[in-house]
Amino acid sequence: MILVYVGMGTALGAVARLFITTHLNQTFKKHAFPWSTFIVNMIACFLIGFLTVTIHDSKLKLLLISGFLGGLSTFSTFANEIVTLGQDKTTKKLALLYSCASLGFGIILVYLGMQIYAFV
Amino acid sequence: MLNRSLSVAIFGAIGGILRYLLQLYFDARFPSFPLSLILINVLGALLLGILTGGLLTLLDTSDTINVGLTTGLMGGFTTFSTFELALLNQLTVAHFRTMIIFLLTSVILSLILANFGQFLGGKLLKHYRKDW
Repeated sequence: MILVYVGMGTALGAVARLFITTHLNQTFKKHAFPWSTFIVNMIACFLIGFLTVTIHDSKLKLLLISGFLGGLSTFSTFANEIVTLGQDKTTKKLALLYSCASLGFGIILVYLGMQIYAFV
Repeated sequence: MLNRSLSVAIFGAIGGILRYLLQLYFDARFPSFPLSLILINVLGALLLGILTGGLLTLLDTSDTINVGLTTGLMGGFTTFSTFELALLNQLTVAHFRTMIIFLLTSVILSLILANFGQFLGGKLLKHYRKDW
């Protein structure tokens, strides 16, 4: 039964990512920087911080945190985009910027998500 | 878009369940270090590299299946949010050494294996499709 929550949540999160990135890829068509992956990962980081401190029900945690946010965020695309950017001389610097920005802002957004709970 | 969404949902559910099972297995054995997250993210980076590096072209699967395998299966399997949450947790309990080891192992290994995966995918494609 536990697996149903994780599976359903991940399915919804992955479809949400598909919709958001399809939309954002249109907006950032001319950009070499992987904005769409960056944005979904940052949204997921903020939400995991917020939901970790607000949700205490174990089933809801499985559905939303392990499931939805696990499906929304991605590490595999993140790593492969860095490699692809790093292979091209003209985008080498972007690879470093993208990895540092994702890792750094990600942790800040998790923290902000946790802190915002105090204000609502 | 409906077919693509269904494909991503089904493959995503499988990816998420596989991730959860691996987490259950490894977190019970290594409770103080998120070894499961390293394995999941590094393995996912390798497999996505193989898929996009040439395997999907070789298999000649439809766009619906492709998006299911990449955005669904690999996106659902790997996670960036739990990874960053684990980093913050290690930082707040002042396990700096653990945090640095976890961060560097995850990032360096996933980059090496994503690179190798893309290379391997390309090799596979060239090997089985001489005309490519």
